[in-house]
Amino acid sequence: MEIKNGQEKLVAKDFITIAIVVVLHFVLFTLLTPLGMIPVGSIFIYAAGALMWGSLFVLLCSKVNKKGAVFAYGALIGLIQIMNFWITGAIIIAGALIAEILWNVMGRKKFTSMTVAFTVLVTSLLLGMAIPLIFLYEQSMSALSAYAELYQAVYELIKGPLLFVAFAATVVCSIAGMFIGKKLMKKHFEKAGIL
Amino acid sequence: MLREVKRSVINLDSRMKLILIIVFTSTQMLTTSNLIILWNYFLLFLLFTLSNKFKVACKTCSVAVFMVLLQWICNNQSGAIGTVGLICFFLVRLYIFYGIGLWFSKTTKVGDIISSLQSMKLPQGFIISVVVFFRYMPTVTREFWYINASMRLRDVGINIKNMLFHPIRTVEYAFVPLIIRSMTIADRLSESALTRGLDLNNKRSNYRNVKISVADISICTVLSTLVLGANSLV
Repeated sequence: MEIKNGQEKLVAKDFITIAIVVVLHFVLFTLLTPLGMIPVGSIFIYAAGALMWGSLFVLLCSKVNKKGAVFAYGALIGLIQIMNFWITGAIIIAGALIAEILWNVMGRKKFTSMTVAFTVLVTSLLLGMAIPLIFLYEQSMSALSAYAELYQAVYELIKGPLLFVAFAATVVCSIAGMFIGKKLMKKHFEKAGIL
Repeated sequence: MLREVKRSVINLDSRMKLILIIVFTSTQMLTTSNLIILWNYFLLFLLFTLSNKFKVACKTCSVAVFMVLLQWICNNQSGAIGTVGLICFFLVRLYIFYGIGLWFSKTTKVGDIISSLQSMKLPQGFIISVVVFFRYMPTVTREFWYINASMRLRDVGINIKNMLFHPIRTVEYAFVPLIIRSMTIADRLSESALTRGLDLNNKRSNYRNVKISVADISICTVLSTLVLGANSLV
């Protein structure tokens, strides 16, 4: 189906869908909270999350295949993260912007471009946690002082090669998550007629 | 006096409510003290009660108090008990976002939020997203319990046994209906938004006055001071 020029812009219906997908994103993230209790789990939580978020992202890209959808999705996540630590939010929003550009440049209908955009977005979530801890350690600790012990341990871990392992795991799981999403789309969502 | 305060809290401007959400949520991340956490939940309880939502206040805050108590009991323990304490430590801090979001959605009319945010000249997309986000948060929890109840009838409910022996199947059975249900609700909300003319770029006219009053500023300042002040004391 061809999208007419007049329908290219995001409208109220699209923003409603995006907001609901973001709520589901946080619901799934809350289910992973126990994993975030342990330092190693905190680093790999985004990789685990990607396995579930992939389905949401495939659905979002299929339902709202318009310019700005990926950015709006990532920016909303980033805005909520700003309440924890503003730099984390800023990194996620920057990641969302890059993901949006890549998605548009590579072709919004292609599964490959969706996968690349999703991988960039999830990686920006990991970087949003890691970069402030590495480069702005003091500020991060004061912004998240309730979790100081945990983040102290996380900092010790991400100083080493484990950050690269987590990075690779996030990329792999993002791709796997998109394939799971594609499978679920065919198995359930198309049959249910929600597309 | 109390009646005046009650009326002011009920009619509190949605922008002030959003500021309170940010204040409450951010300070939870700054403290390790259970006393401050309980103090914040007490203030949330007051907000609910003054907004004539006593039952919801009791439900929401009793869950928080239970988690704080559990964390206090499990504190400094090792093994599984220690992990439970740690989970409660995290959850009680995340839960305030749900609690205050619930207060926001239960006490604010959608039209009021839209009008007040529009008067701040914020982008329409941002306004719709924020409104739907807070409005949908309590709904998704309710939907999840409905789905879980249906799953239990067919013996595929979310429990430890099923999560251990059939994790993928259990997650799929819970997750897929939740998405499908959410998308159906998204369509319904879109129809409603279209009917209300939310897509139009014209300036909305309002029945209610959405201006920030002195009472709004006073309530927001007092509550923020109580939250932030307690945080800096301990």
